Amino acid sequence: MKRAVPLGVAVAVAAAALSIHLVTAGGTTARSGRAAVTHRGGVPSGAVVKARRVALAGRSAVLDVPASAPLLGSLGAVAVPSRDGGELAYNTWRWVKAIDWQQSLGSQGIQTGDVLGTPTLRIRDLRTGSERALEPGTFSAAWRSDGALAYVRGVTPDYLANTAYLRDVVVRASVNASPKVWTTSPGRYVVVGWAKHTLLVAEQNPGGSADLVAFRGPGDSRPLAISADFIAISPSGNAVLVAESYADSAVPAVREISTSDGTELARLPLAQIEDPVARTAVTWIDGPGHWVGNRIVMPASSGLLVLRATPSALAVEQVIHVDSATQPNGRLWEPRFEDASTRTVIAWSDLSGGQSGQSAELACDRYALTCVRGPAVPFAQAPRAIFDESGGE
Amino acid sequence: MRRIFCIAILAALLVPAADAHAATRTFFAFHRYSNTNSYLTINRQDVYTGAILSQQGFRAGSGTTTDECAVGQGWLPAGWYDIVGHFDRYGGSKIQGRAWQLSDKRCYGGTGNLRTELFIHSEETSDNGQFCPTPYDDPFCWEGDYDYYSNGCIKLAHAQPYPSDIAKADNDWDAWDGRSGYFTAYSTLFVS
Repeated sequence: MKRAVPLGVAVAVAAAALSIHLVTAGGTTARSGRAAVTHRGGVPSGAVVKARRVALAGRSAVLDVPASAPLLGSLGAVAVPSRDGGELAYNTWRWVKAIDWQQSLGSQGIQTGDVLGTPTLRIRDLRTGSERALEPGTFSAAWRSDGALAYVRGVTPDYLANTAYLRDVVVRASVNASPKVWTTSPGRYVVVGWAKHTLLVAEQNPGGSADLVAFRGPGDSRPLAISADFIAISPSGNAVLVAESYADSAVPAVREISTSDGTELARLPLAQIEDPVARTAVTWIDGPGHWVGNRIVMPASSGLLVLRATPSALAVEQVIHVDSATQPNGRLWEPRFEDASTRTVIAWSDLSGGQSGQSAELACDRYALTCVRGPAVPFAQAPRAIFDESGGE
Repeated sequence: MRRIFCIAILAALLVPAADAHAATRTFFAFHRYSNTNSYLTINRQDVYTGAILSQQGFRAGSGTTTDECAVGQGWLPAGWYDIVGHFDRYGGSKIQGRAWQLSDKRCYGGTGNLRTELFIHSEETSDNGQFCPTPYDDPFCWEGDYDYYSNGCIKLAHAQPYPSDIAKADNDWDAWDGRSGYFTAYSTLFVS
């Protein structure tokens, strides 16, 4: 009898495992594993911008100026749609001269303090096709549900070589309203999104990671998370997900934080998230990710990570290993669920080897564990996702 | 062998760029292997012959990922850098002590993001000491190999036996180049 009980349990576990395997093999649930990547000419694109070409909500348009955000980089979306879909705020950049970036700036006669370039946000009315530029020195935008627009504005219009580019956070009640400064002093701010009527901003530290700061209005701010990379805001706007890194902590974790008071709602150490192929814990998690329902997809050292969040817990739903994403310069950027079913994730990646300098879109079926890679395009035309991380009304 | 070959190429490349009035010049070479186990050399070179007169190498780290375009996370992008400042007692909020500030760099060979405010540094206080108030990862305390991870800069150890690697590199710089504060040392770091 003593042996029969464990035997019965073992049979039950085996049966359960077999049934799970059959279900997943049928392609109706998500499981962790290696995604097989195939190449195809066309990929089901999400909302993307490729330099001047925009595809959004079934419509296409050609922007007046190529979308580009070298200073914002991987910290936010290059193009951000308003909540009603009528307008698109997008980042642009103008270099003052051609630069050979393999060489040093000084060897090309560029000294510390010389103007390198100018960021400028532009607003396109998607209904009329008209465009206008905001102030020079502006970048990084997010729309509030009532049409208010938040962004950052440099203390100088131009970015100066080898210097800190300090900027203020400004908010317009509408695109046509005058900008109001919300920061009490300029800093290295990047707008990450609205959580209801609270504006979340990442404050970068020179040589260090960023802190997440919440603004309720002009001069009214408080820290939400120290040394934490922003990942996503919940659809309700009640919570934000951030990730710590090994650069700042020996035991980094993904953290779910209340946007109202900064309380930690849940915590999941990276050491508990296993790459299903390498059989080791993931070494980094980054944003921006995408939060739909209670699922969040984000880039990770394995490729992609999907978590499930509740108001009090975080759990791993799926770890997808994409071989190319584990190689230098191969990570996946800006993953987005294609729709509310959360079955398909669309991301993009830079290519290596003979296709170095080019990028491609990937559409990954989470149930089938397959990714279809689109055609390679020059990095300047990388298919960057159009999104706004903001959540809540 | 590969490392020696790289240094030899660097030495040859540096000769035309060197200041004709100086007998030697000092430069760094950083070879990326992994985030926590790469290799940094500091070199003193004869500007006329290109010969490497002195060299010291250290284990070094950079970034938490190997994607050089990941702002605040990726390891240092490849290419040449100027050194635009050297400090023995830097007093930043996240970086303190002995540090070299690097020029800006656009990743992916010049097509990607602009990486700014990059440094070579360690985890130490502004007076080159250690501040280890907690059993966790303190920012100005070298606890171990995890400290080679960085937010994109190059990191050298401040670990026993002393002098530490950051101290040796600083001593070499002070003896061979000697500049401190803000200046521009053209093409003084090569990252491969």
